[in-house]
Amino acid sequence: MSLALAVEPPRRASDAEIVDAVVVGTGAGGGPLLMRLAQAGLSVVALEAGRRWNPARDFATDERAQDALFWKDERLSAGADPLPFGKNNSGIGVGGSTLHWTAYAPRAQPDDFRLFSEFGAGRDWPISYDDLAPYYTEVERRLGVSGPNPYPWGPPRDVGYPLAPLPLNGAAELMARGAAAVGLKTSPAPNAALSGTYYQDGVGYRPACSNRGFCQAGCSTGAKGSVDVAFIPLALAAGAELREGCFATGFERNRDGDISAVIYRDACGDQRQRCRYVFLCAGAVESPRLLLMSDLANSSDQVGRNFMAHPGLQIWGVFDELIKPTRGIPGGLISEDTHRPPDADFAGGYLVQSLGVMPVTYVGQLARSEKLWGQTLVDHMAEFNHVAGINILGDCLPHPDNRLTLSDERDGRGLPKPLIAFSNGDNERRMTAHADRLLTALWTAAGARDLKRVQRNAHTLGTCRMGATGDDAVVDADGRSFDIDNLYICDNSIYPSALSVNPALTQMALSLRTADRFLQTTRRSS
Amino acid sequence: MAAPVTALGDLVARTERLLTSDRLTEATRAVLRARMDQRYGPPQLFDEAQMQTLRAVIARLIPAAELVDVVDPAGALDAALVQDEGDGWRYADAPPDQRLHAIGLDALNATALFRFGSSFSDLSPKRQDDLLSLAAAGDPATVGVEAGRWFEELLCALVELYYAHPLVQVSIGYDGMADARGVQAVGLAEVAHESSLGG
Repeated sequence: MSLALAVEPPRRASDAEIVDAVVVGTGAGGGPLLMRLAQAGLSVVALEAGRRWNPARDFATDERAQDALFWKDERLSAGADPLPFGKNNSGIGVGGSTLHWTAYAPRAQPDDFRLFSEFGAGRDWPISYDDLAPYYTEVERRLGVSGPNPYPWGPPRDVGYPLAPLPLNGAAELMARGAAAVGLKTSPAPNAALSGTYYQDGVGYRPACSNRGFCQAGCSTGAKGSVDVAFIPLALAAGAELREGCFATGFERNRDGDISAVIYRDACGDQRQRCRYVFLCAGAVESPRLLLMSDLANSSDQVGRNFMAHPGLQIWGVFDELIKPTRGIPGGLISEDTHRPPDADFAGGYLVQSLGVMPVTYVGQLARSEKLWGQTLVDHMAEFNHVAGINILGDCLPHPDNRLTLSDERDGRGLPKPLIAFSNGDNERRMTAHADRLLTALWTAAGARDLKRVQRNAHTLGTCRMGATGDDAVVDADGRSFDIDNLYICDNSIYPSALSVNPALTQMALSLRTADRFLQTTRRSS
Repeated sequence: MAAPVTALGDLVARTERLLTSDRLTEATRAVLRARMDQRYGPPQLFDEAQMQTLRAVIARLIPAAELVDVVDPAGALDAALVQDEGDGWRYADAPPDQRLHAIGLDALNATALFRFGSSFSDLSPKRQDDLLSLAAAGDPATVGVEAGRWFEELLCALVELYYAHPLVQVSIGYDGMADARGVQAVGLAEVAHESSLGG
């Protein structure tokens, strides 16, 4: 089935022209607002460092070949718990990290936005769940999220998931079995992948998920709701211009201190696009990096600070049952009974997720985490078809010393490489210990043997955080810079707290809200 | 008289059948075909002594001599490092990969010579494993102060190269690449049923 309706070739704005907005990055932060702004009649140019793919033609069902979806420019990783980047958490291309997200799409819960009020730790958001709820609903409809109605956790919803839950794979069934044994309630998870054929205006028909399980290496069928599938075609149809292979390197400013142009590099050299507004949506690494390089928007001294990454302990086991771990949507099952565990000795909480996995990803993670080598490696991998996993995704407290700075090393463009220092704090360690006890008991009860642990922190968050005042935040509740009137930031860098859910669904909701708030509060120039 | 069918020969035949079947999309086929046919020439980054150490290390990290011989992860690693595409990050306290691997291999071999009077590749498997365990712990006396991360980076690079190879994937019964025939079975009952039918 065709994935998208035909679009006209992009119109290229000349250097003399001033467009209403430049959007830097076309991922979960940039894509939805690009659509909304273009549909409101603004002239918008999106700069994407990567390229636009034709998944049906381009995407091989092979992990190494799909490395092309990941950000390859080198980041330097420091701290007590240095984070891997690249395929661990960083995408490139039209669609950004949604090209490789697992499609796991739970909403945050209302108390996630009030961590400081509840625990005296972390930060509150300057917006609430209620501010985001209508946008969650809209994103779930646009992506085509398959999930259970009613959803067992969180506040009641006016509108349910547009599609029934996806079929459960082996890992999901085994997690349900183990959870029942330890008294944990589970449910089929909300996933942004279609459980049936789905039609949307401007997108056309998208097919149901084929269970190939390669979500993290790029969906080739169009069943997964990524930004390039669900938002970009509508943005282009509304007149947005998309420029591939464009890397933003800086800004020009006018006498009033506003940004007057975005400077970027393409295959021909340095270019600039004059604009009235900038939406910086390059992600929690590249957005602060660009601002630090430009020495911009940082009177709070918070740009680059408060780098957060979700505790994401994984426990893997070998089962008698034949599983074939790539089959089916990887995150088939969820429990949010652990959202606020009564026996917690930490602030916040976590969700529990069942896990499928692809073989090269699996063996690489085991190499780093368990240093599995020799005969035990070979014997374990011989049982790959009997492997299944579960993991947590937990809140992470911000710390000013977990931060991104510019290193002394230069990359291929002559720009300073980002240096990210990250260390888990006491809260993350206690949460992980709690989760380890629970997951071990659950997986053992399900029949797992030969348990393996992958210690990891997931996603990149917090480095241009949202707040009530510019004293200790970079953007306000609308995502607007406190320092630069015509600069908005909209990506995972604006999170003041990590939340205890995967960030992409929330980010796309924030993106639509940012566009709406911008349109409401700003007089549109013609 | 027909040549005797070896286990490796049978594996190659099964993998070739998969690569030419309608179970792969064209994009997948192209990638796996190229990887299956890939042969590596003389090393361009590592010197002879480093390659000798590397092959001996691989023999202990991935004890599957026949498959390792065909897949040639040592050649693949050398080629990957020369290409220098990078994977998007490195530990800030480690030198770039090319240098890290050279330092680590040299240090491991030097430690073998110093401690046991022979090159790493001439040691008994037991002594090799002992040194590798120390390297895995980042022991500076074994790998030097700059190469504390070397073992982890080496192991990760090697196993990812190895388990990406079509022969190795088929050998462990992995069939995730074969998605060209539409919706696949999912869930314990369906997967078991598919398997009973020879799928």
